[in-house]
Amino acid sequence: MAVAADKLDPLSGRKDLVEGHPTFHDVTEAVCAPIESPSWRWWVAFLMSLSVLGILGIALAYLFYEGVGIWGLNNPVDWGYAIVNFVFWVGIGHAGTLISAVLFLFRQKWRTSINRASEAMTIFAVICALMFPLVHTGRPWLAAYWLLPLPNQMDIWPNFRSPLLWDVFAVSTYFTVSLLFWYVGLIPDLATMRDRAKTKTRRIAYGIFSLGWRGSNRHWQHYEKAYLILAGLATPLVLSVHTIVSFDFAVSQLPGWHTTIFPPYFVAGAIFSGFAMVLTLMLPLRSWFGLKHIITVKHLENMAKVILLTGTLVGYAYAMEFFIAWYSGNPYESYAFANRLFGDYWWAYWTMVSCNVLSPQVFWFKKARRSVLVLFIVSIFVNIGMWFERFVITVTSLHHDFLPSSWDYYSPTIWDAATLLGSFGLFFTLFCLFVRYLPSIAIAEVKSVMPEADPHHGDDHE
Amino acid sequence: MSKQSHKTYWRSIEARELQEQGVVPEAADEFPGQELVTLGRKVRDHKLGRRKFFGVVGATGAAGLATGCIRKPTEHILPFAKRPEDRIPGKAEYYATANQIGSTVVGLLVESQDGRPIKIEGNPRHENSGGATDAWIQATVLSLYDPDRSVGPMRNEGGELVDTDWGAAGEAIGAALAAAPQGQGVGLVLRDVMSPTMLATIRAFQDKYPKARLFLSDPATDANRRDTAETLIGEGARLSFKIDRATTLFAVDCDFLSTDADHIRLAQEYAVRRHVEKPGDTMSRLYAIEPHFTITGAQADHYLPVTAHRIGHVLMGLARELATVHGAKFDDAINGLITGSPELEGEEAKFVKFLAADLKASADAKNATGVVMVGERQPPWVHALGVAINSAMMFFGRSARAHYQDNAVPMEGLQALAAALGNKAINTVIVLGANPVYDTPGALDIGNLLSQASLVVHAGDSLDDTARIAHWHLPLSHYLETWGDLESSAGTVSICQPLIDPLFDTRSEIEILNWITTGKETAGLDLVQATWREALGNAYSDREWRRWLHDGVAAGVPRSGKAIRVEHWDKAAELVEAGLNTASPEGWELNFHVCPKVIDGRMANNMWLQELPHPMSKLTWDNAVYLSETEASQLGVSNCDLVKVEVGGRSITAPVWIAPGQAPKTISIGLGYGREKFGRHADGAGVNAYPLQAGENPWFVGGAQVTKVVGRRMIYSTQDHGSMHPGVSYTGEDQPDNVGLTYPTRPIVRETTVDGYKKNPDFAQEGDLMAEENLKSLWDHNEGVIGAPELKGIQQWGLVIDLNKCTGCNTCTIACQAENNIATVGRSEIANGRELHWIRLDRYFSGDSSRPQAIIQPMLCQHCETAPCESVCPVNATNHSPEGLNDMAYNRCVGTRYCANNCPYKVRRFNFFNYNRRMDETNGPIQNMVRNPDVTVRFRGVIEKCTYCVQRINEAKIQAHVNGVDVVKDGDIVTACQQACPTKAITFGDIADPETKVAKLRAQDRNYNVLQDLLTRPRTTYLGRVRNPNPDYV
Repeated sequence: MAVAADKLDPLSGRKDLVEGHPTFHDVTEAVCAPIESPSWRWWVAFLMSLSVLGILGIALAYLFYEGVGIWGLNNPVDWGYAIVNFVFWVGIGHAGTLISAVLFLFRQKWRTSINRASEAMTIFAVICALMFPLVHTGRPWLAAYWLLPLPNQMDIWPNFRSPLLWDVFAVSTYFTVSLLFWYVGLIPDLATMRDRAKTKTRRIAYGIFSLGWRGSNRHWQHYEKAYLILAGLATPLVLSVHTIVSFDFAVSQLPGWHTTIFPPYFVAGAIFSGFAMVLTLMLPLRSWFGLKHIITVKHLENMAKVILLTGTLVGYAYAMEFFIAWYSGNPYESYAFANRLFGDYWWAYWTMVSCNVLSPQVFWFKKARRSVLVLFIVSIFVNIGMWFERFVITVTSLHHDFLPSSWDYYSPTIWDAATLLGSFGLFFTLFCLFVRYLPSIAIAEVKSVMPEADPHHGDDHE
Repeated sequence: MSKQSHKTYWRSIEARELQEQGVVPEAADEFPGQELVTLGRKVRDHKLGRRKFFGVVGATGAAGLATGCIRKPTEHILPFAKRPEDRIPGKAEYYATANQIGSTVVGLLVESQDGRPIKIEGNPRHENSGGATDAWIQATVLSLYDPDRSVGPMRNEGGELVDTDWGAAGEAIGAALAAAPQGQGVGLVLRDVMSPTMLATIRAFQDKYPKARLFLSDPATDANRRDTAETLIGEGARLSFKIDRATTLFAVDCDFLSTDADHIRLAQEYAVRRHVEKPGDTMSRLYAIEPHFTITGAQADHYLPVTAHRIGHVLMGLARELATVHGAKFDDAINGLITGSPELEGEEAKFVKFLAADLKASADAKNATGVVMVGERQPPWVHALGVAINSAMMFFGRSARAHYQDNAVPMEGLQALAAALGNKAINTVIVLGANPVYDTPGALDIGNLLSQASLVVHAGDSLDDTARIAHWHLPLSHYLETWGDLESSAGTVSICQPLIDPLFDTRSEIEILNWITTGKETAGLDLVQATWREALGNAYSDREWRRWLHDGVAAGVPRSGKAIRVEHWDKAAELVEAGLNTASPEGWELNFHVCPKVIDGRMANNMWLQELPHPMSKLTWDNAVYLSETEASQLGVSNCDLVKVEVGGRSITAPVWIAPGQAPKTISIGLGYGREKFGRHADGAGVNAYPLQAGENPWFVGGAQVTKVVGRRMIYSTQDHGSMHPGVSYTGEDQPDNVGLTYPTRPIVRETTVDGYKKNPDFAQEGDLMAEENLKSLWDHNEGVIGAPELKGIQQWGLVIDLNKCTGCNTCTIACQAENNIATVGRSEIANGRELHWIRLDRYFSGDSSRPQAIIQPMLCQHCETAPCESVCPVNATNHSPEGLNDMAYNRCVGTRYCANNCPYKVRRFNFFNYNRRMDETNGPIQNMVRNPDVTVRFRGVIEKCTYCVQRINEAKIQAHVNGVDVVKDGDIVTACQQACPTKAITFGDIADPETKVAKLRAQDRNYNVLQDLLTRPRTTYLGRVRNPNPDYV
């Protein structure tokens, strides 16, 4: 495939963000089409996701009935898939806010066509993530409220020194802000849906959630300010959430966990995995819903660049960990890292390195960055690799720690696998519902970056 | 009773509560925000505040409930005539009794809570206990509540056992005996008898049926040693050892630290000479040869794996060396045989050379002695040789001793039983307590022969293999339910008193045999008292009797005083000559071992013991074919692969487990496994090795074939086997791992030699990766910050473990399990790596796997002052007490398991399932009676771990407060592991007071912290091990 040149906006001289010069109305129609007349493909995807969600239901029901013993955990390896999945999903939940908030603040206009879906992805990923710390506890019915600082007659508070508690605050804050941010961004589009609604239910539902939006100048002014403030609030959270998640490991003293590089390394990894997941979702979406002119190859290429950057950062972190382990002269530390390479879980480590460090290197080539197939394959690789990264960190450090007498091997059970699979069911079910009922592209924002939005559009000032 | 002797008692719970709550500052917490002045007056004015009121109401209610619902024994089994004034529900009481396994008799103090015996302690007054026990005895309390115990007499009806009553059984037995003139054709099969009353009862039986024959069927007893003693000395003679003064010890296939006779006492005495306080202290030196690396081999300063067939020859070589080089004077009858024996070669010669020199030195030294201990597994001729060496070296009477068992009854062996059954010389067989269908050599085929006898009466505690072929089965009472008496190998007599009425319709062996003999039912108490009334004559008094019961040992028992002399050297020479000339067959040598866990199988249904890791292999719920690494690779097998072991046309198929230190071309198998229809926990565990045993010498047999067969049987060890890299010993070289990377060794266990200690007294601290002054604590800058450790208690608890004394006998693990209601998780959960033991024994090998060294390190919660587990718990479920305990609030725990991850010692255990409910479902309610009411039973989803027996600490503190002092005296708190430990390797106490035992141990230069570099400041510290190899023997 020849590398096609992007069309340039005649005015700004930059590349077109929406291709084929559609009108505003065309954009609205294109985005609303999947909501107003869903194709059979949606049903296939939704029913599949729903059945996988059913697996999660069964897995959790059995878990609550029997206890976490149904998983493959053992004495040295007290954290397994649940924590791996938690960190994995939180990581995925990073791209959305990064795209919407950080790129917004940096005036990266290309974000407009992907921010809605990636924010939705963030919220759903965080929902999946939030589930795990709760269900992985031995007594979730108590964990659910003892982890919250609720005043009580016994004067017992949670332990504010524990990184797990910081997690509770960090992730729930992130979830709240992301949800608000997403919702505020949705309001103009919800109003559009309300106005286009053909049934009473839709009219009422969209009506309620569009909060009486009429598109007046005053509305727009308030909206823009609120959006900006929320973007400002959300930006530090992008960094803080995974920093704090990394504290779960870094603050402990296990060789392989107790590492100062973890916060930046985790954040880079999170953005990396988040973008990969955005690609995984967007590629089918733009093709199935006919949105290729809105989510253009240029968008994909930009995301590939971010993946290349963060993947290389992650590779640097891997290398640095080894250097420090060697440089520290600490026998436990150096063993832990040698054990990753050559120990019982060598396959997990090399899967991680191949997927995370090697596979994104194809993005040095423009041809690869613009190939939908390559992008999709690499995005899947990165998803796999980032899951394995968390597996490597969690399990290899635990299974061989200080006293060799305690060493053991961790192998997951079918219930571990079912919970992981089921969490994808939850994620995709939510995502299917999202694309079915909400505009998966920010209509108003996309319009704002089209040439027509420019007051001087069409005027010849030469 | 020592535990109680220095205690004073408070009258009732209410009184104590009021006493404690009448304090104003405590009540001040009640009304936060109010002025203290007003508050003080208010509280003083109204003595019965809200809190006090609820305290009183609650306590009264609890007491009422306690008395109302808990099973109470009927009054007449209480050894006190009247209920003592200070008997308080919920308050433990201790009664003395004794236990017998094989010929080992151990005096005990049994803790009873509300009439239920729940915990067994050693009786410090009993020489075979000295306050300690072993894992077997600790676990017997669980066997009392075994759900598979037989509950009433049964009759065999066409192959099915059906319920019957004692009367019917009595009639049938009476008729059979009446039909046998003078007991002609009657055989009585017994386990070893150490009870004077039982001996008297047997003699009464013999008086009535003089032609009846007696057979001994007891794999756990020292029959070979006894046979030798009777041959060399005379009928009724018994040999035993006393090694507290021995400075050179030679264990000849003798696992005297865990399975051989009197192992608790021997371990204690052994530890006396392994006590080291400062550099320059002398220690005893232990040499060991055995085919299978046991914990005795692991203790040895010089260990040599030798096949069982070869062991007698090595001992002969030693005798020769002593006679020719060191001038030992053997009796003329045997001297020629010794000096004429062939010289040893190679490593054996070297080993014997140094051993002989050391034995000679010990014999010559003042106030010291040596000893050669031949293990029960060796045939009589090797024992005879041992006796000869001990005599020639003048060890006899000092470290090797003999005495006559008064009124001993001679018993025939299993070969005689098989012959008698085979030629129908006996056809009425009464089996008392034994299980010959299962635990006799397969070559004798006793099971088959027994099933052809015209009448088999079996008395046993469960429906075992013999019960299933017997015509009548009579249920036996547990020893905690019966009256009895036991005389130890050294002649100490203890009266056994019941702790509880028989739970089921059972009787004791004494009662049954007396009933069979006389046809009358006489209570065990009357029988035992009658024996002693007769023995003591006028000296007997009720007062004396009560004193015996109280002390657990009888004083003033008349002795025959018959002089002991080894007289029959000619017979010894005959034995030895015959033994030497027995050809050792080609092929594999099979060794059978009394299992350090389930003994000979009698404890196979005890889930504590099944789940207990084997002391060396750490296998649980299974036995295995142990073989050396070399042989395994030659056979092409690895752990869990199945092999077929065949000898004399009999074969078994069993999984392999590689055992470092196993002698070449030998395999070892533990007995007692592979049960069928024996009990819910025993069935399916391991493989039965008895079928392979030969009749003549049950303990080892040559000429076997071992072949690999297709398939595996997964067996599970609690410790990663053979995983030695990176190294853990600080003395060792850096060890390369399988990919050629080299890591510094991990200073986890620290050891040196006597010389090394002299040269470098700080060897233990030098293992630290970094000196303490170079380490920075996270907490140093944060004094007063929430969560920073505040150790403001008057007393600060600490525990020291002397690695020099720990033999790895597993007693502490079971003692802890019994004390702390630790659930058993079952085979599948062990397979998942989820064992729940609070104290585990980490075993590390070092050196070459063909002749390794091993070191055992008990690992339990270290109670770190800056505990890594505490800071990570999100709900504050684990916290530090002001006295330095790392406390666990089970109620608060939500089970994130973060603490377990962050514990560098990996001592935190998680309830992955509701293990206690699972146990209830498997065992029914009876097993709950063993629970200690002072310790919470943990629910699913909760972390648990060693508490330093906080319930015992608090009990002692309450006592101290009642006595009006704030400080608990040193030694008043004894943790369960410490109490049970035969070698006193564990010491607990207040480290804040420099005068306590524990503080003095911590001040020793051998004291070190495991993982010191993490600066967790553990309260559990270790004293480095000092080995004592012969400096010239490299």
